Amino acid sequence: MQPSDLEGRLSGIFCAAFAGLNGDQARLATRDTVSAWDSIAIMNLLALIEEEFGLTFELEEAAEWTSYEQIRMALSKRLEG
Amino acid sequence: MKLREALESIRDSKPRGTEQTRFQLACSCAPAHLETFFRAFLMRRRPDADIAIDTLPYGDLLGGLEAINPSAYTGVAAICEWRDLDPRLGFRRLGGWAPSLHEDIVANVETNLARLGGSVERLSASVPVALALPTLPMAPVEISAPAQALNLETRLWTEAWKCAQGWLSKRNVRLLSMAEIDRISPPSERFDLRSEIGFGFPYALRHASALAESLSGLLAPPPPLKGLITDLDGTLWRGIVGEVGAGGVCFTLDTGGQIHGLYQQMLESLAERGVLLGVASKNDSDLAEQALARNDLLVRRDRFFPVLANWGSKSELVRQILAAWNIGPEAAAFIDDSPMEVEEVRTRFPQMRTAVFSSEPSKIYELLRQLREWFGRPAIVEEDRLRARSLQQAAAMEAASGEAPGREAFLAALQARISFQLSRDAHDERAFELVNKTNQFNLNGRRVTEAGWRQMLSNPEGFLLTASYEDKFGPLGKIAVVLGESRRGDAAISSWVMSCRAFSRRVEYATLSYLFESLKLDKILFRFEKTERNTPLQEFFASLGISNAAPEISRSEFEARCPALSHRLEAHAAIGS
Repeated sequence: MQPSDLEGRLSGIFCAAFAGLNGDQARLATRDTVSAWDSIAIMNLLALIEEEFGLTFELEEAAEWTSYEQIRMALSKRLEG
Repeated sequence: MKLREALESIRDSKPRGTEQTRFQLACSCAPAHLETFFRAFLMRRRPDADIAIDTLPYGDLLGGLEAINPSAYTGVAAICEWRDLDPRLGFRRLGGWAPSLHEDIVANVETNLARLGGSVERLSASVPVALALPTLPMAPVEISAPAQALNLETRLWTEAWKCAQGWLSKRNVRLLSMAEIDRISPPSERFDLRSEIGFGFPYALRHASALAESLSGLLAPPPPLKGLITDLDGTLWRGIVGEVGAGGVCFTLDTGGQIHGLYQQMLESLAERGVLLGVASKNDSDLAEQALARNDLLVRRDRFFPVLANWGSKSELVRQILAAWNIGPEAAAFIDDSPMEVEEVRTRFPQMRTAVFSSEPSKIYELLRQLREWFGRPAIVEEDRLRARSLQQAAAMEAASGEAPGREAFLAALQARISFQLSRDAHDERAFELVNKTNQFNLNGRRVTEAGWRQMLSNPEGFLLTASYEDKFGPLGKIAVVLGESRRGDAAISSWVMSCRAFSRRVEYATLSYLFESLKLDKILFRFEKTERNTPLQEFFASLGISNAAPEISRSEFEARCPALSHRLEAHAAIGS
């Protein structure tokens, strides 16, 4: 998968999970800048990523997610591996 | 539906109606994706409504249901899993699975089923309740070979079904079909233990979507279709009647026509439930009639009206049948074994549901399931069964009116009886249905939500007038509904509908006459709005000199302009003037 494909799909997921974010804002999203980033949001992100990419993450790992960039890197690593 | 699609449809939804349509989603788990899917499906089913959803506090389905005030809701969806009947049957609470505990589990489940039944009964007295019995696997409380049916599990399911059977007799209870949920959500793929332990949400996404889709469908079902138009050769029976003769067409197992026999059985069943059946066949009319008159046919000949068999185009035959039924193409289905004929009809009537009758036996099950989906309704009311007969009566009446010496004499000879019921009965399902499906004689085309209906009739000045009609051609059932408020000699009518089956009988004049009389009114004001389809009501207003700009009429004006009425009236007033 091309990096741009991954970014497009992941930012789409962020826009679905966090109403009000656009694509550019999604790429900069962090737990500190998005007020709706809570345990429910993590649950949604986890489910959406699983649905979109067919990948399963451990709950402990997902609980540590604090930014778009961190998730993008985790996804990239899994997809490459 | 995918979760992303559900979230995006909610995010992108435009502001809708001003009136909120509120549903309760009752489950003991974190509502999470289930609520998302439930909202998205309800928004799809009610595109004009502003959907609001309430959920229960985590972990207490039975207590939560007992606390619900039904008057706040349009419907309640309740999902009862095994853990709600005894926590030991779930996976989030530890309480022991030892055989010595089994009797205690059974007793607990029985007690909690009784509690659930109490809530179902209380809530369903006011609002529709869609109920799902356990859809997730029971914890392995018993140990045996996986394929072996277990004693405890069998006992618990027996108790649950016994209770459910009792609940089904209640008005407004809509039980989720286990066969349907099994069809759209494979049992082995439903449970997500990781999510259950991590988030308190036990459903795999696909199952959450399936549950939400099914429950929303039970609470906001699409309007059932009213009529089915069928082809004959290759569809109602195997063979071409013009080639093999009436005795040569077949529809049984030993003659190779089993799928046609199954189709006939379905049509008879639909007809008995009030669905209109018509025939559109490219055929010789006499031959078609001879075959339809065969007494071994599994659908009665008199179920079909009209039967049009000639060599015109199928879409023209369909048009004539729709005109005879006085319904739009969106309320009918067309079935034919010829893909070309189906395409021709679909091109002319894009809103009509169509299906090809396949000669491939494996396809018949899908067709029968499709018919069940198109024509299914939560409950059958008497008027549904009367509909087909009254259409034939209307045709007979029309023929007779041509023979009568004059309009007045003809109407007098009808020996018409109208039964008026004046009340504030918010439980009158037929009245509610009529208001929400009638288009032609409709004061303003406004639809009413269940909550709005109840609210209007809880008003001490509100009233609901219904009219049932019968004449020498037979009963039409409940055919008119008026909803309004009256105060100090004036009435304001907010809804007035009349079934098209009752046109040309002056029922509308008799209705106004009865309202003036029974509520001792001096003036009636109408909340009229012109719609694309309410021409019959506009013509009625014109006949009484009621203007669209100031839609009202005084008693003296009405009495001066009302034509002669010859109905015999029966009145049942549960409220006075």
